[in-house]
Amino acid sequence: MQTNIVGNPDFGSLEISLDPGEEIWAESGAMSRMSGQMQVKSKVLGSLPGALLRRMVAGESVMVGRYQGVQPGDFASFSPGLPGTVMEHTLNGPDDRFFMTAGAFLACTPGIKLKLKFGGLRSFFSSEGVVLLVARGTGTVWYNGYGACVEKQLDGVQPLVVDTGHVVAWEPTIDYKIKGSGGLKATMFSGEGLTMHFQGTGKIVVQTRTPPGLAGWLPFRM
Amino acid sequence: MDWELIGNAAFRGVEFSLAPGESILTETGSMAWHQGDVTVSSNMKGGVFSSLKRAVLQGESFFQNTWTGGESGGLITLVSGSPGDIVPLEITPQLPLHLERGAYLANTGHIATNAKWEGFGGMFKEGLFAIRAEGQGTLFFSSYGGIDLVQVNGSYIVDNGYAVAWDSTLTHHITRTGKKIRSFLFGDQLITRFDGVGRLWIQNRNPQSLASFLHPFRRVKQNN
Amino acid sequence: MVDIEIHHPGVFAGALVKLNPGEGYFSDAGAMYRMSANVNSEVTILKRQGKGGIMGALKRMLARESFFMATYTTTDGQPGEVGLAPTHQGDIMSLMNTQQEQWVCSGGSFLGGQQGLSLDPSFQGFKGFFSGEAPFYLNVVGQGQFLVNGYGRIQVLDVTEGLTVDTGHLIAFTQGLQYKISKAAKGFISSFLSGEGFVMRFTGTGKIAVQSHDSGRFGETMRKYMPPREG
Repeated sequence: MQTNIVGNPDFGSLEISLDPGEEIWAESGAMSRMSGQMQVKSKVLGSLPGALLRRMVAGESVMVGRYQGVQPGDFASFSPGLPGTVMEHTLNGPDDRFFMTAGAFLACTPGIKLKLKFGGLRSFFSSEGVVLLVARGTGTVWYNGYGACVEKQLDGVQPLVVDTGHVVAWEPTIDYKIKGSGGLKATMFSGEGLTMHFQGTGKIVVQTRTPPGLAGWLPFRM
Repeated sequence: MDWELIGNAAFRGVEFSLAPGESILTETGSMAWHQGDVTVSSNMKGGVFSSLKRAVLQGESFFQNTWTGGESGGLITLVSGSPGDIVPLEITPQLPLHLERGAYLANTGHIATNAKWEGFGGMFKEGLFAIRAEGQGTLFFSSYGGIDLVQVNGSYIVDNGYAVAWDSTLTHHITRTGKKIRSFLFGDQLITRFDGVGRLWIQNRNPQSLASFLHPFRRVKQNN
Repeated sequence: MVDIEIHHPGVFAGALVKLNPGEGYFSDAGAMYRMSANVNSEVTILKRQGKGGIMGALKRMLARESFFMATYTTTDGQPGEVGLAPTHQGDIMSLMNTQQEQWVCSGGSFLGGQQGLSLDPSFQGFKGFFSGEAPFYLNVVGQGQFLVNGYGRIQVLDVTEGLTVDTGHLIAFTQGLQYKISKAAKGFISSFLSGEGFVMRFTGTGKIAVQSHDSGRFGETMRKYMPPREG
């Protein structure tokens, strides 16, 4: 399998070519074009019970397509729903995990296990709470962020406070707490929403735009 | 004050380094992430009524926030809701700036922002809502789209929704394209004509067009 | 040849069309975002050899072009300029319509063209409805330069051995290519608005212009974040 990320940081996409029999799994709807003979099957990933799944990830597909090469030279391109940056992360075994916010998942090599988890603090101010995707296993995960993405290395000393919508992914060596911006009144009046306070050593990826930020800015008349 | 533009022109952010006691004034909800010792307070500048007035006429949020560096200082990164760029502009008392509503992101120093409402009789589409920024400091405004900077010397025409900021030396008035009397039936555009000598910042995407495109994707309210 | 500058190519492309006296350009009526003060913009319903008028305009509307087109000319014998901008983030590409290469554009992708070209909507039949896209495509008629816009990066691909393209990623293709619309895979969720999960399997020889991202999927992604609306 050959893979190539093109178009970062504005309209990142993942381009792959597959040998006959090789497979890649990608979020359903992400395929933009592929060679004529490529085989596609659908598969459900993720393991939240049905009702919880629907409520937590309404509009979020946990269905993937299994793309299999048939002829030498078979290729496909995958794009996220939002414009921005596509990144990759390598996982090295059944205990190696990577956390992503739901919606960041784009594709993975077969055999990677994905699990949806509720990340905490469903509150009066946020009907969503935080839904996470945990990837584990051996192989590669491709994930995306909305807009330009910044990778920050935390040193275990200085915490990083991130507006929840701006979080893309992080390594499990980092812990987090979810808080309002500074007390009830501050959160309500500052217009700053829930924040995640990250502490630990490792990598965290943040994005410069958020879907709720875009929705809040749009001049809907009714 | 140290600041740096981050990201790229389509998804720009601005990171401020706040020394102890240093402050910036920002649009509410614009904080993306911060590190170190920074705190936020909300301002009801000039009392409740003027905040309300500012919100209604400027399309701004109800309050502005002030972020201040604490004892050890810190970093804070701000972004706007729309994809696009951020323009940092020095404002001096001799040259105030007119800014379209919603474009304001942040400022350092002492810049007063006053609502200046250019109506269009309220009949068809909304007129141009501008704020006047004057004082001394650096103003940060954001765009939806790429920014074209036009040096106006005479006249220039911009479709409604695309003018972001202009020197206060320029005057403007709203008019229509085409000459037909019943032209409003045929979707003639409301356009703005800028006259004089000065700088005009134009964005190349229209928020209203995006809102119209996304409208059918909105969930329908369930009336119980 | 019309002189066109593409500003901010790639993500927020805008096309600045330079008009010499006597030259004309046309576009979707909503596409103009800036112009020099000596340009006249006349809003019309584009006619072509007696076709057009209301039916033509209706067909164009269903093809997601606006009901109206605007034509631009200078008024004072001096050069002028018109800036054209698409609705979405993304790129703009200039294409040539020739005898050998006649382009068919999907709705929403056509930005503008030089005077002398015209647009002929062609009904795609039920194929179009199932794909969730508008059932009309626009045939570009005549010889000359025109502009297409895309959500994302635009690439023109040479097709000789067959290519499958998701319907949301198609900008335009040359006449001579054949295609069938089907679902990418059984079980994929498809929605009328975004047309997710439908693909066009092209055969034959020709060129296909594709966009890297899909504005329908963008809309679906935004759904849960936007305030509900009155029905």
